[in-house]
Amino acid sequence: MNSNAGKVARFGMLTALALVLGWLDRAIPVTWFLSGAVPGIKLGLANTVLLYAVYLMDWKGCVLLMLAKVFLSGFMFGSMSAILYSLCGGALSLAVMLLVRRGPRVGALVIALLAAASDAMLLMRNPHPRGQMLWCVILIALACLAALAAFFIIGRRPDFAVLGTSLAGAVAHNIGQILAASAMLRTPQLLYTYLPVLVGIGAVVGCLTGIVAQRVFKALRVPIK
Amino acid sequence: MFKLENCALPRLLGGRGLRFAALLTALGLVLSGCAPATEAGGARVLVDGAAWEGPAVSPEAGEGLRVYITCDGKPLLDLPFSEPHSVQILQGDGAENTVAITGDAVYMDHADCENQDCVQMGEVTRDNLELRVMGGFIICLPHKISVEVRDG
Repeated sequence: MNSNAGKVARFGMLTALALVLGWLDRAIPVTWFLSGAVPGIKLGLANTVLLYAVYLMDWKGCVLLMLAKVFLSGFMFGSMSAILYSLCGGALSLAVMLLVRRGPRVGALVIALLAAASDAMLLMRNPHPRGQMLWCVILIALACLAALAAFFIIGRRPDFAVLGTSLAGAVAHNIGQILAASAMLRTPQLLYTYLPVLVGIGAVVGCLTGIVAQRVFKALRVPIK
Repeated sequence: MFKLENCALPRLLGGRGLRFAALLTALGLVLSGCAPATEAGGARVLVDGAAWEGPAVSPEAGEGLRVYITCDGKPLLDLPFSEPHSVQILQGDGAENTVAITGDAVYMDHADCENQDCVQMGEVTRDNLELRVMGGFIICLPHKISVEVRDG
């Protein structure tokens, strides 16, 4: 599948898939399980497409696919500001995935450390968490453990390398979006209230999508370099 | 001869694709940082149905909890937490938000944005200020409105 026609077909298929999954992301409400405490959580299924692109295509294709996804789904469902948020998220997550593809173990370890740091940050803000906060602290601790587990699993089973890339990509997407949002609203406070929670949630979601991606890669016999 | 391509860092950072993506991120951040605030200038504020004519930042604030409302990074008004009010924010592009201040709670009563995240964020009270994940914040990202409860 290295011919031009093959590339075009693959690109078209991935773009269509990204748009459909982007719609599905909106249709599945994930926010309810935290009872509205943390707004704007999505499964990030559309970003799994970017994950496949990182392994299947060259960097030009990846960037083009990311831009197509951001602008097409932005014009279809969102507003101008939504495009900016997802452009920042998408670009940062793509940069991190391209970087981490060569060393997925490092990626998983960095995410584990980030999750531990954000848990510490939440606990520092509120040493005796109750209610919503307690659930978030538990969730981030779980995310930290999951990332650590990914670190060890990748060491033992190289075919699980996708897991590290997916983790890092999901967390980077959240960080990019929150950076854009705090720049746009001029509320740097978002960085210490909202970001720790989003890092934890990104790690959990990244783990789930990574496991899905690993299965798909195995079935499609995608080479993992 | 010094060439960027021969440096360890760019090679470590993995080639042109990565640099391009990093550049795009930076561009997006800069764009969102200096996005023109055209609609915010035209934001109309109605407090209890009447147009707000007070200052955007009240000078005598200093005691007790206050509710700070900003639009697109600019302060619109601030009110005492303990006085019941209903604040309606109408922007030039048709965006509409209603913030309810009941005297012991603040919440986004109504918003015509696409995701309704701000409405689902629930209320800020004196008791849950420290317990809420978002602290004293209620934020409507699509309309760029932030409501913050904090000490004056």
